[in-house]
Amino acid sequence: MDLDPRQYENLAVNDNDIHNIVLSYLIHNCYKESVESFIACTGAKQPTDYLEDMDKRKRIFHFALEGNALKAIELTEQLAKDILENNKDLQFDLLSLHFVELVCSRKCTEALEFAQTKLGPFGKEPKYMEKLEDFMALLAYKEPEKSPMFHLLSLEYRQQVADSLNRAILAHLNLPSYTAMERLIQQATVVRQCLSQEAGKDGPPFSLKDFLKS
Amino acid sequence: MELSSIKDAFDRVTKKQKISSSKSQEVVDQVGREIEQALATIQSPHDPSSPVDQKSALTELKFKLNAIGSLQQLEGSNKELNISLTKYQKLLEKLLNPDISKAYRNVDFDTHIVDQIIANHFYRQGLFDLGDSIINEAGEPDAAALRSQFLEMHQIIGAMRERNLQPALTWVSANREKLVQIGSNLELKIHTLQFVEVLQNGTRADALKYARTYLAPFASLNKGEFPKLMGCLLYAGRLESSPYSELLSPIHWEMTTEELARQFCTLLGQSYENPLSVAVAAGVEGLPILLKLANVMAAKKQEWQEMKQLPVPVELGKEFQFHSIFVCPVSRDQGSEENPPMLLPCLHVLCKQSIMKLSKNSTRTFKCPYCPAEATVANCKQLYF
Repeated sequence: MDLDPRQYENLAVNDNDIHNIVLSYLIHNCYKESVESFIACTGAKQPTDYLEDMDKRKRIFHFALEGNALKAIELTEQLAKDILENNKDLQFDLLSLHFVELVCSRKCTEALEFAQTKLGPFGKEPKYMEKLEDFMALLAYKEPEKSPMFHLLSLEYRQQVADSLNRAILAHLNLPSYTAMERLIQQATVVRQCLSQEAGKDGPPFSLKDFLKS
Repeated sequence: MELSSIKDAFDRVTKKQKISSSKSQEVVDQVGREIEQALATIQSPHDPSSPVDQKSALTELKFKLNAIGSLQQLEGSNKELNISLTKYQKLLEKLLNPDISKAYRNVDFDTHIVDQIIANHFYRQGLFDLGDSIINEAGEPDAAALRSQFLEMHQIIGAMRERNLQPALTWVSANREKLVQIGSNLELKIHTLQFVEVLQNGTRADALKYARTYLAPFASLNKGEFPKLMGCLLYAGRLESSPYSELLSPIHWEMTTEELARQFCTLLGQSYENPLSVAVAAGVEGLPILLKLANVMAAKKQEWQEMKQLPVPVELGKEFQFHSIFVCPVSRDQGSEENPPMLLPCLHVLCKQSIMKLSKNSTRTFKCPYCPAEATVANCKQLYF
């Protein structure tokens, strides 16, 4: 990887800042044991307000990731009653996760009943209609995993919903929805791309993966 | 056709007729009143001192009737009516030529073919008794070849009109491969109609079972339509108050019925449009031009029936165009059996006569008029439209 035409080696970065960036990332993702180890190793200051709801968030996140959406909804409402009431998109995504789980368990009649009672009301809004139709189409297949809508059954989809839920809870707790680490990487990527364009290089665009390997 | 001038002339006639009629009525009423008055005078109980003179009453009546001048009044209005009627008749004769015999050629009239066309016309329309009657009387048993197929088609359509899709479903599944070859999604459309019926009248489980059994096989071919149908399951039993309520519209039944009839005819190798109706409609559209042509050529002492090609185009609408027509880009002649289109090795197309001219009657190679490629008559292929 070529060095930037600009010099950044002589820019001093405070270790404390780096520790805080890493710590906020670990807390954001509910890596509780890693947080405790990190604090023990680095002697970083323990942010008590962050740790308070981490356990609850971790459980909610994992329930969503496993597809146990009803449990995730129940715990979310215990933690913050109005999160889902004020976020219909998230509510729809969580309910649809449960629907998918029923379809995967081959409980089609139950899935249809659930869809009619819980997902049906969303059909009044056109923005949910297309998604709803895709979910309903899963019912037609004996093996939904082999259907054109297979992505709705994937771990990636559950991860996406779990992430959205986690961000919503963090925002509700007046904490940043995105970690400083994520923002810094996004910003660094944009800067590298701009520098590459300025230098007039015809090579491939900046890739974070390649940069980390080099 | 100058229909507007005919309409104007007709309006003038009706106007004059109304005037004449009201004038006649007026005169008749006036005469009637005078006669009634005279009768009343004659029949009144007389005073013995002044006996009524019947003769003088009648003389007075005669005088009054002469004063009215009924004959002159009626003559005037009728004369005007007759003038406009005569003008109208002349205009009709001028613009609407009643003798259409000038506009057709004396071709061999094959009674057998005409009998078959008429019989098939009735079969197409579902008038089987009438078709059979013609075939029996004309002694044309071969003409009944399509009877059974059209009978099947009308039975299916009849059942569909009564909201019974079973015969249609049987037919589409029996002809599935042929329908797929012509790019038809008729089977899905018929299953959709049935699915909507199940959604409305069956249980939720019935609808789901129907979707899994009959709609799922079409999922990969109809990616846009299929999820919508599955979305309907959310509103089983209450489709009318759902975003899919338009699926309940009777127009879907009408359109699917028509599509079935079209595709039935396609698989039979028959046109959907009735050949007899098409022939008559095309004739009606082309007739004015042909009549005009016949009159113009008669005035020039020329016989248009002898010509191989008409000197004027008879423009028919798109609905009458069933075959591609080739016009040679070099000679501007229309392709025919004697002068067919020929494909050059460079894939340009000319008519045979142009190729013969360019190759000096097949004696040498020639250059394509549209590209630098060389060709010989031997390596040109005839095209069939």
